[in-house]
Amino acid sequence: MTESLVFLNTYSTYQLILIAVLFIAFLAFSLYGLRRVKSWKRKALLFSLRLLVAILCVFIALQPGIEKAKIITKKGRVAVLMDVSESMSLPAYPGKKPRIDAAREFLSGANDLIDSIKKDHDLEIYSFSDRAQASSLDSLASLKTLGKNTDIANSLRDVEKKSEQKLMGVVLLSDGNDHGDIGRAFKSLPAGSPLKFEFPAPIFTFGLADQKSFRDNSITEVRSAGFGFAKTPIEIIVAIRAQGYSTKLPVVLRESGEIIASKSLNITPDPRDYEVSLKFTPQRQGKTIYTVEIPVLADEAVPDNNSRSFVVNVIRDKTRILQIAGRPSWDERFLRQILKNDPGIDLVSFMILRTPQSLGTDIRGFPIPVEELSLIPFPTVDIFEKGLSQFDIVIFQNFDHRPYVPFQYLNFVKDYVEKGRAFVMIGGDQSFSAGGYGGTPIEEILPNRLGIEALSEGKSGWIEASGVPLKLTSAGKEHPIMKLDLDRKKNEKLWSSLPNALGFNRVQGVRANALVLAEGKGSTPIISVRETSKGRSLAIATDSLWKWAFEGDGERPYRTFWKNAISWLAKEPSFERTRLIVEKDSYQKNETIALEVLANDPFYKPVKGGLIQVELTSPSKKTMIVKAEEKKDGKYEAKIKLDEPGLYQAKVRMQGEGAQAAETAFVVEGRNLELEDLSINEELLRMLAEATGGKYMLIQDKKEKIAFPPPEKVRAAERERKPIWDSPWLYLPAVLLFCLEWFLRRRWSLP
Amino acid sequence: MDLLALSKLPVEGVTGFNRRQFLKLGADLAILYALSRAARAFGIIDSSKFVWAQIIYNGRWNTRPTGGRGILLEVAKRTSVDVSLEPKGISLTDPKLRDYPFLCISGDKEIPSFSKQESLALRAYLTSGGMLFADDTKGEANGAFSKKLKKALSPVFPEKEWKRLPQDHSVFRSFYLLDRFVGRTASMPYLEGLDHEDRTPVILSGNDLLGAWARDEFGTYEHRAAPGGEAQREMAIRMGINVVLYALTVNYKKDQVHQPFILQRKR
Repeated sequence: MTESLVFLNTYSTYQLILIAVLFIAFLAFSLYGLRRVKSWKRKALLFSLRLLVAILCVFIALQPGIEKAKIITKKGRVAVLMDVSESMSLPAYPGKKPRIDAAREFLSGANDLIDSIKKDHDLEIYSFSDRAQASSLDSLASLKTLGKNTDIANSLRDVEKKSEQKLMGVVLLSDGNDHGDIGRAFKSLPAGSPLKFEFPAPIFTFGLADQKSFRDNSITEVRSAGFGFAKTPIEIIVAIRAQGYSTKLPVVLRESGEIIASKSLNITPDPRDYEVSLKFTPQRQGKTIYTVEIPVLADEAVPDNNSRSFVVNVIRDKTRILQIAGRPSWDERFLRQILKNDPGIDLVSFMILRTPQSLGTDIRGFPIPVEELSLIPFPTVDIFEKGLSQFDIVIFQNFDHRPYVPFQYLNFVKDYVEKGRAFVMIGGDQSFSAGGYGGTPIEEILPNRLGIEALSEGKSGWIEASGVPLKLTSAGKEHPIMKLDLDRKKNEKLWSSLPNALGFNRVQGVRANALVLAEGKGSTPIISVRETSKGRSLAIATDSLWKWAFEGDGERPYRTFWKNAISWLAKEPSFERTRLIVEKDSYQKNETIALEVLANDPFYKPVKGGLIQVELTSPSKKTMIVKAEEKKDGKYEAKIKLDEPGLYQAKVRMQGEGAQAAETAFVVEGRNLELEDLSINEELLRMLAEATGGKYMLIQDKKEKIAFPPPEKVRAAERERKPIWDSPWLYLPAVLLFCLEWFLRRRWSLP
Repeated sequence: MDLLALSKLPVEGVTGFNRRQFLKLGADLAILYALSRAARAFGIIDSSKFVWAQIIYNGRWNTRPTGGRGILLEVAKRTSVDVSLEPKGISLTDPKLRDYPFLCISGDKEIPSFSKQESLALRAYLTSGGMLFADDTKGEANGAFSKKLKKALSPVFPEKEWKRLPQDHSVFRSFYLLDRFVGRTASMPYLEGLDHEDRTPVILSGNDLLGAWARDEFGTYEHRAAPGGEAQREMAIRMGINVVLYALTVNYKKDQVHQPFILQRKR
C-alpha cells in the first residue's frame, strides 16, 4: 500500500489562472505596503510572513488530500518451445539418444529453472515444427517427432500473438535445423555478420548434443540451370556435407536407373561442405528426372539424405533450318546473316551460284576446270530423299526447282510438312508461280493458290514495282509473327513505317484455312501463313524484306520478324495459340499447383466462355481431370494439390473448332527437408539468442543460470482518497502567521 | 496508272474464270509486264538486283567509268546473280544510299577527307550490312589513293586496323578458288580490309581491278593487263566475281558442307 499527497480540487484552467493572478497581486501589494519600512531585515521578515500566509492559502484553496493505492506485482509469461520436427528424432551424441529425448531429459532435470519461472511468471509450454501448438510438461513426454518442416520464426510469432500478457522470455529446445525465415537468413549471411531477428523477449537456446561424434554424409543441394538442350552437355553442381568419415566417396548421377555420370570425392572426418560438378548429355526432349546418389556408409545417422532428385527441362537442341536460295541476292544475304548469327539456330544453306546457262569458259574461250571453282554439286538426293527429316524448317528462297529438283521430290516436302514440320517460300522472280510451283505438291502446302501462271514459262507471276507499302490485315494485327512491338499501337505504327517492297509475286488467292497477315495494294497477299495437318507454312511474296534490315533505324524490326516467324514455325510454346503454364517445375507434396491456360482462337483472339479442362497423368499413370476456371482475356486457371511424388504430365482439353493442344510437365517432390541437413546448427542457435538479448548454452552445463526480467510492479486502479484541506490544523498556521505579522507591525509601529 | 489495282484476288472456293475474265487478266498482265520492263529501262523502278554503285566525291571519282559494268557483265554471264548493268553514281549523303548495299570507291590520286556527316553515314551503312570496295586505279601498292582512303576511313572506324586478308578468306573462295591477286597491274599481291563482326565490309585493292574490267561499247578491253596479259586479266575478272559473290554470300563458303570439296581442290 502506498500513500501520496494529491489535490482534490476540480478547478477549471481559468480558475487556476485567477488563483495565480490573485497570489501574485497579493505579493505585489505586500511589497508596495512595505515600501516605507527602512530596515531591510524587517522588510524581509514581514514579506516572508505574508508570503507563507499566501502559500498556505493557495495550498488550502487547492484542496489537498491523501491518496492510498495498492501496489500489484504483474506477472509476465515465459514460453518453453520444444521442437518436434522429424530431425529431432535423429541421434544426439554421445549415447545416440534421439535429440528430443535429450531435450526432454534437460527439462525434467531443470526443476530449479521451472520453479524460478513459475515463481515470477506464468509458464507456457509449446511444441512446434512450422507452427507452435500449446502443450504441457506432461504431454511433451509423449509427443512424436512428425513435423516435416521446421520454422522457428513462424512458431515464435505464434507464441508472441497467443496472449497480450507480456512475454518475458523464451526457452527454445531445438536442433536449429530451420527451413523458414531464420534458416534462409542464416544461410545468406555474409561471414562475420550478425543475424538480424526482432523479437520482444530474450530467447535462450540450448545445444542438444556433442557434434563431434556425429557421422553422416548428405547431398544438401543440386544446382542446375533447370533446362538444357538435347544432345548438348549440361553441367550440374552437387553440394555434399560430410562428417565423420575419411574415404573416397563415389558420386553418381542416374537417369531411369542408368548411371550417366560419376565422380569420386575425397572426404575427411571434419565436418565440411564439398562441391562436385557432373556433366551429362540429355538425349531426348521434355522434362526428365535425374537422381544424384552417394553410398550409405556404415554407421551413418541418416541414410535417406544420400540421394537427391532434380528435374531438367530438355528443350530442342537448336532449330535446324535448311535454306535453299535460287541465287545469291541481298534478300538471301540478309536473311542468312541473321539466321547464321542466331545461337539458337543451326543453319544449312545451299545457293545456286551458277545456272545451267552460265558460261563455263574464260575470256579467251577456254573452259574453266572445276578444280578452279569453289562450287559443289547441288545434293538433290541427299537433301530430299535422306536429309529433310533432319530439319525443322525448310526455306525455298526465290528458288526455281525445275532444273534441280524432280517433280516427285516435291512430294517429300509436302509429306515433311504434313508430318509436322514447316515450310517457307520467299518471293522473287524465280519463286511461287514464276518458279513453276503452280499445280505442284508445294502449292498444296502453301497458304496461297498460285493459279494459271504455273502453266506458262517465264516470269509472268513476278511483278517488279517500287513502292509497294505493306499493310497489316486484321489477322496480322493479332498474329504473333507480326508483333514487332508488344504494344499494339506502336506495332501498327512500326509496320506503317517499314520500307516499301520492290516487287511481289502475284498469287491467285488464299486458301480457306490460311491467314493473310500483310497485304499490298489491292489486297495482294504479301505475308500469309497456314497450318496444314500438323505442319505450318509461311509465304512471303516479295524479295525485299532485306530493306527492313538495311534501311531505317536499324535491323530490329527485321530481326524480330524473323525471330517471331521461326518461333511460330518451330512451334515454340510461347508462340502457340493455346498454352499451359505452371509457375515452377517442381512442387512439394500437397502444395497448391496453379495451372494457367491461355487460349486463343485460330485468329489469335482470346477464347471467351470456353469449356477448358486440364488432364493430369500421375507418375503411376492414373488420369485425373481438373476444370479450369475462366479469369479474363482468354486466361483460365485450374488448381490442384498432389501427394504422389514423381513426374506429372498435364494436357489441355478444349472443345470447339480450332481447339489446339498444349501440354506441360512438372514434378512433385518427395524429399524430406528435415533429413537433408542433419547437423545441429549451433551457430544459428547462438546467433538467434544474441540477436534477442538471450543466451546460448549447452544442456549439460548445469552451472549456467537463466535470468528472466523480474515481474513488473504496478499500482492498482482502485484508490482511496481522504481530504485534509478541511482540517482545522491546516488553517491554524495561517492564522498564527497572520497574527505574528500583525503583532510585529504594531510593535515596530508600522502601518 | 496504279499497277497494283489490277489484283482482285478470288479466294479458294471460287472456281475458275470465264473467258472474259481470262482475257482481261492476260491483258492486265501483259500491260504490267511491259510497264515494268519499260520502267526498269528508264531506271524509275528500284529492285533487289545487284547494282554497281560508285561513290561520288570531289575529285577524280570515276576514272574507270566502264569498269563496274564490265565486271557485272561477266558476273551475269558466269553466275546466277541477277545484276543491273547500269552503274550508279551516288554521294555518301544521298538519302537513297541505302538502296545500294554495295559501294565502290576508286581513284588514282588523293581523295578528300570525309565530312563528319559523311563519316557517320558511312559507318552506319557499313555496320548495318553494307560493303565498300576500294580500288586504286593507278595500280600502285600503297599509293596516294590508298593512303588517303585509309586516312579518310580512320574516323569512320577509329577502333579498327587494316590488315591483309588471309589466303583462306572467303573472298578468295566465294566462287573461284584464287591463290593470287592481280588486276590491271600486279604491284600489290594482296587485298587489305577492315573487319566488322564476322565479315569484312571494307576491302581495298591496289592493282586497278576496274582497269582490268573496263570495256568499251564494242566489248574491247580498254587497258592492257601487265605483265601477265590476258591470263592476268582473267584472274582479275575472277577476283571481281569473287568480290561480288562475297558481298552477297559473305562466309557461305566457310560452311561445313563446302569444306571437303574446297580442301580437296586446293591440294
